[in-house]
Amino acid sequence: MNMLTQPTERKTFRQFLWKTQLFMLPFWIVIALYLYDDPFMVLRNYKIYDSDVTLNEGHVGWQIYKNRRDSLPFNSFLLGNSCTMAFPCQEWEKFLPQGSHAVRLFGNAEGMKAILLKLQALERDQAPIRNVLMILNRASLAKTYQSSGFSHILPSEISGENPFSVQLEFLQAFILPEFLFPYLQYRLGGQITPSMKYMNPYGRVRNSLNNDAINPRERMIEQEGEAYWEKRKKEFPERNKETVFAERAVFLPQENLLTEIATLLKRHHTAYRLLISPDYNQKQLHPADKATLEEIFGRENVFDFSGINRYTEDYHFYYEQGHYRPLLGIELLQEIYRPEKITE
Amino acid sequence: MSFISPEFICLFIFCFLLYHLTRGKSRKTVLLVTSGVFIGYFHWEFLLIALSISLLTYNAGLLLEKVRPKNKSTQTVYWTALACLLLCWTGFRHAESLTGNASLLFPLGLSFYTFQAIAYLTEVYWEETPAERNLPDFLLYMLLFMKFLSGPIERPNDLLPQIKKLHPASYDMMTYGLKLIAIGLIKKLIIADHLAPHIDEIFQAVHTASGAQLIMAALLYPIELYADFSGYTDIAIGCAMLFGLRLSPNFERPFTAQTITDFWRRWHISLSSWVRDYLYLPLTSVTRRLGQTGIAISLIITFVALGIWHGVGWNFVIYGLIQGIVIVWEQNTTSIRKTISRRIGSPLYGLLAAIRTYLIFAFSLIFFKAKNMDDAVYFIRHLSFQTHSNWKEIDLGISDHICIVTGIALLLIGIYEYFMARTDLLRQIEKQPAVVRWSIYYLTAFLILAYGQFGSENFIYLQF
Repeated sequence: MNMLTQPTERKTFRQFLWKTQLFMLPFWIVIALYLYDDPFMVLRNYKIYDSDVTLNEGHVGWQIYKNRRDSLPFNSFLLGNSCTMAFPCQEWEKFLPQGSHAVRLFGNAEGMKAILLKLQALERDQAPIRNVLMILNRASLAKTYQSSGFSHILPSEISGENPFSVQLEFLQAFILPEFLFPYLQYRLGGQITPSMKYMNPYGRVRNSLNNDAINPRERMIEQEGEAYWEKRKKEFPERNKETVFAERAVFLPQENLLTEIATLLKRHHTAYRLLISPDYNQKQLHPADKATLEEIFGRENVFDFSGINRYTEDYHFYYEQGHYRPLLGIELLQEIYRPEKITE
Repeated sequence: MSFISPEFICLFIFCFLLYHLTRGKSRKTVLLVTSGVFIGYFHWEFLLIALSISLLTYNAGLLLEKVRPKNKSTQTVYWTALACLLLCWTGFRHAESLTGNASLLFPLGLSFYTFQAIAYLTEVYWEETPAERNLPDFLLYMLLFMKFLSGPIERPNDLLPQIKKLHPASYDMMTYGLKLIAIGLIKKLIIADHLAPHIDEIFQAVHTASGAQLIMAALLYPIELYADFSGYTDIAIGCAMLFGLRLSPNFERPFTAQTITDFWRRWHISLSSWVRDYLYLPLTSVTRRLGQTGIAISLIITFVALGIWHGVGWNFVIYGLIQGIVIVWEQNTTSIRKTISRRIGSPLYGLLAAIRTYLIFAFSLIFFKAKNMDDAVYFIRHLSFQTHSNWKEIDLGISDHICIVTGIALLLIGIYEYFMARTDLLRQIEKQPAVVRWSIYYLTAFLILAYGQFGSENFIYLQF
């Protein structure tokens, strides 16, 4: 009996293994391509973070910080959402004490949780946190959770998550048809078309030394001049010139996070500024939110540029409704670092 | 090591290959060593505790058989062993509150293997099963890694005979096991883990949530709990099938139950049947003289005990008490329900009754999920349709994309369970042409890989 069953058992087992491997074959091929190409630049370290794929800003920022950590340590950190693109580190450094070296550690649609995690990671890494500039808006203030997904997930060194789980997010993003098929098309043809989601058709979009943004729209404005806004009138609707307050964003969970951030910054005797972005739609931050921010961070450190003001009036300052230009960013830096503001 | 951790996947594949490449007794060794590594990986102390309890139970079983023919009191042996098991469980469950030392961990799986040990001893004591003389077989019954963490709680008569005749799984059994694992992963990774962070956030900070968010969290939590626990069970049963073992089912479409009584026949079946056989039935024999009141008392004691099994605190007592009171009430109102059913028609009645059952269970889970009694009371007192700013906040911060993915997965699982009640859908798939079959397999694998939330490795029932 034993003699009869054992070969059958082996055969069954071999058949099962063969079929599962056959089933897995397409997945192995995709995984092998992913490991070879490293399209999101997260599997290996790089000196230059330029890619034809849209990268995870949290990862890129942290790698840029780490790349220069030992040779020229950063001590000034530009945190917040994508509007940090309007504040070039080189410009910000002009307002900081000599010997300050700034890096932009931003995230798209960044919330308070991510900012806290980044500061805690810097603290764990024993980085000298001398200066911090936080660029926020109502949405960033309201957001208390950390987004998932490949474009938002933070490196495990920042979030404390299992590194394998973090890597799995990127692999997952790679096998999504909306990424994989355009990517394969690009891989075979070498061309990026506008329909290719998650691909970067603009070439170099960051300075790999300090993560400053190189916005392709700035080039377009240079080339097109006034026509840039003329052609995009739909993106710049008329404002109704009435003061409209945004809904409240800061409740207890937000307050707790903000307090944790403030406590950490105070512990490091950091010179910090918190800037509420000038919103094209001129919706003003709710006064209660502003009051809470001032209470937690100190009135002298909170600068609210939302609502109707000379900065939000001029549409030439904007690429589109959500983002403004370094032209405006530099003016805001001048405003918040005015000597009289500092002594006030 | 969780079922969805890379460490487990490696250990499982290694064990699976070794198991099928070896013969006879070596297979038991492979399973036993793997179970030891699996438990010890969490903490070597957990393995030590599990081994100690297993050895205590093994020896108590043998002693019960030894003293029986000599007419010595088997009662003393049985009750002493039982007291040791219960004291051990209670000690670890309350260790933190008794010593004030927060670093004391509750050994993983302790509740489940203690229940298995009690079931085994009781069966031996009742002479329903002979004491197991083979120590490796008994250790495997207690420590088998697929069901170690959160069950199913196996009866000796179900699992021990299978362990004694370990044999490789047939091809059909292996493929069926893989399909069950896939179903479990969909439940866990696409439904439960997408909902969990958002529901947890509301329960962690009940004071900051709006009334509408509280309602939404309360309504979604049973789905999360079901997807999490039944997902775990499907993975456990599927993994066992790859080794030719059949574990007991734990869920039978609980949300179609029309009464809480029926619900508990369908929810965590291995626990509820354990409680019925080893607690409720012995209790009713004691309270028989009191008639209906005796049954009611037995039911309430049973469900309160079930509540306390889940955790320390009045909220767990209330959780169990609600189940007990509702079941007692249902037992006394059968005729009213039948009348209503006749008047409005059974399809409509069935739907309304299922909704009612779901709502009662969801309500009781507020006590189960809340951090403490104060939070539970606050939660209930603030349930309302009021929002902080607008109705958008009832999405609890879940993105639209995730809402769609989770919603579709929930619908697919609903359809799957609907058909599984009529015919074995997984067997039906096997009868389809290869193209259809493989398309379904690829689609399922793709769904899991592309849309699964792989961040968390925890299962809710690991804490019990």
